[in-house]
Amino acid sequence: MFGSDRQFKTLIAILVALTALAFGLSLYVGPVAIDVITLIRSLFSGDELSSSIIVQEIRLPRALLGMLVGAALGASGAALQGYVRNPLAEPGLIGVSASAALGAVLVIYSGLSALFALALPIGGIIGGCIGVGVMLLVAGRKSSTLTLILAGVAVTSFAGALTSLALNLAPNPFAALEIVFWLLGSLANRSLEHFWLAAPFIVVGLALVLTLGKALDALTLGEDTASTLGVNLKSVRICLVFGVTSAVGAATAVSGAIGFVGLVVPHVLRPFVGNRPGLLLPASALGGAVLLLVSDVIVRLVSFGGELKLGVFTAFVGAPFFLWLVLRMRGQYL
Amino acid sequence: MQRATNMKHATIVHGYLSPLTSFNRFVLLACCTFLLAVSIAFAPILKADKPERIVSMNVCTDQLLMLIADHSRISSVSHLAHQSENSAMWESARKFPANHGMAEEITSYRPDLIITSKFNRPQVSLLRKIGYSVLEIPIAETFSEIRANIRTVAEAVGETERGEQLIAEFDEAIKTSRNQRDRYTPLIALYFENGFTFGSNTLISEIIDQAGFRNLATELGISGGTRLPLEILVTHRPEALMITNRNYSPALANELPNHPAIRLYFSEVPKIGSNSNLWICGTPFAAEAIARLVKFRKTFFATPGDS
Repeated sequence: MFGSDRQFKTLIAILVALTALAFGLSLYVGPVAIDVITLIRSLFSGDELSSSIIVQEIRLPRALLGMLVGAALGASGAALQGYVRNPLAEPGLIGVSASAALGAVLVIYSGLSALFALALPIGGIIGGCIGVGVMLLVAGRKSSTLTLILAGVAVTSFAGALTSLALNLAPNPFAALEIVFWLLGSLANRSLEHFWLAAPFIVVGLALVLTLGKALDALTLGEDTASTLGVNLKSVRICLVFGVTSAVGAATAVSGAIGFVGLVVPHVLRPFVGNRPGLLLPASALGGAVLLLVSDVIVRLVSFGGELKLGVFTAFVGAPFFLWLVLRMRGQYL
Repeated sequence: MQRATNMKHATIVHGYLSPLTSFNRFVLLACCTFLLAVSIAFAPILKADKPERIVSMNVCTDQLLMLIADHSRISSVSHLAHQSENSAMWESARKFPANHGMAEEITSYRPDLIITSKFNRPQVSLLRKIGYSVLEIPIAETFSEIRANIRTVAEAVGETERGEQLIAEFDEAIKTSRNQRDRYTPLIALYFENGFTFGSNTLISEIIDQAGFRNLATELGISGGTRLPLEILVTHRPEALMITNRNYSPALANELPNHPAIRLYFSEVPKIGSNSNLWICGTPFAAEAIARLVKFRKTFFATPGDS
């Protein structure tokens, strides 16, 4: 009964509606109270009123980035879990986010991104590529849960340590305080400039990842069967690595490493798509957008000073979920 | 000198008592060693005349010291005093070797007076324990606290007259700025790295007040320093902005004062650099910060008919 075409369409429709709702909420909530009518007028007017500036320059970039970054993390999590057929794969856990953050940190604090703005997303993507490369090399493709997680933990903590080191060595006295931003992520005070820098890479990455649906479905039968079904494993792997690193690398470069979104979302949605990884991809993209937008609204409600980082909240939701997952797996695999 | 006398004394006592029993000899020797150790430890404190090897461990006391004491008596200042971003006297400070406030490093100068700010640092209690004389100066958030700090340092280094002269100059400079006040007080917002602002009970707030501005943060009821959300800044339409002009290498902290919302919305609003090295510490340089703000106000907010 699950996973039928109609059911899938209903699920997607619900998720689209939720994304729109969360997007609206993200525009509505902030330290300055703006009523809905003024909000809608401010969104489209070209005048210099303070409400227009607030909505267009401060809240809109945040909502747009929240949506795209969430989609990137959700879809990447679903694609990685489908490809390695391991429920623990996630950009934050396997080291993509942490190494992308390292790449972005090196580019920003060395002054390179000030000379050449595109260096920022590119730095994040290159960092992510190196991270995922090392992880796959160490863990191997047909990795067990243990080796995958161990390799991921190693890459994540190594990249995190290098990020901290780079920020401690940066001559700017504020740099060391910004370790928190890069390790936990935040959408606070991001501008449209950040959005335009990251959006093209995230969209391309998402498009690459979403094309993998049929291949991932075939892969559930095993690699050999998938090959006989006409799946080119090599091109799938290239597509996956480039898609995930482009989307997550660019997202991390502007919002820091946000954990657990890519882990939680595919697991929550999997039962609704009848365990079909292909259908899970678009559903997880939308689900990730909803989760990140809602998390970002909650972070704002808890503290307006921008002190609480997004990663704090996603970990708050994600970590208990992760523990529950481990407990359930203990019964299943051991 | 004191140390040498004590040592000689100890040797004589030891020699005279040599016929005593070995136990008594041991006890006396132990006592003498203890006395010797105590006198060595307290030697810097016992000294009565002016301190000659003064070390300052804090950028604020560095500047007070350089203003008050003869430079030949200063052995070292903190490394922050060498940086133009934090210290108004960075050029003079470069004449002195820099310390990083580490206890071991400080003792290498064999200081007879250590001056630092009240930050409750473990180094201070450690240095005191070893026997160094440490003067802790409270952080000045008002002009009267600046005067009090000048007096404390002047007294400690034995330059009371120089201290009073400095205070008189400071008061005179403030008076000159006050005489140029205007009935119209424009609303200014402070917007520094990470969107930080300062409200009441801060030195910069008093400087702004004295220069004839109203501080947005103070009007919003903010006391001390905090982050000001960009949305709040945009909503309250300040007439002037004070933004950071510290020339640091890139960091996210500098992105916020350059946010497009500020560039768009405040493009026509007069801006003044923070020149925070003048007021990050409570020193007489606060008067110069006032003078710069007064000049800024007169340039952009001159009322017709006002001289």
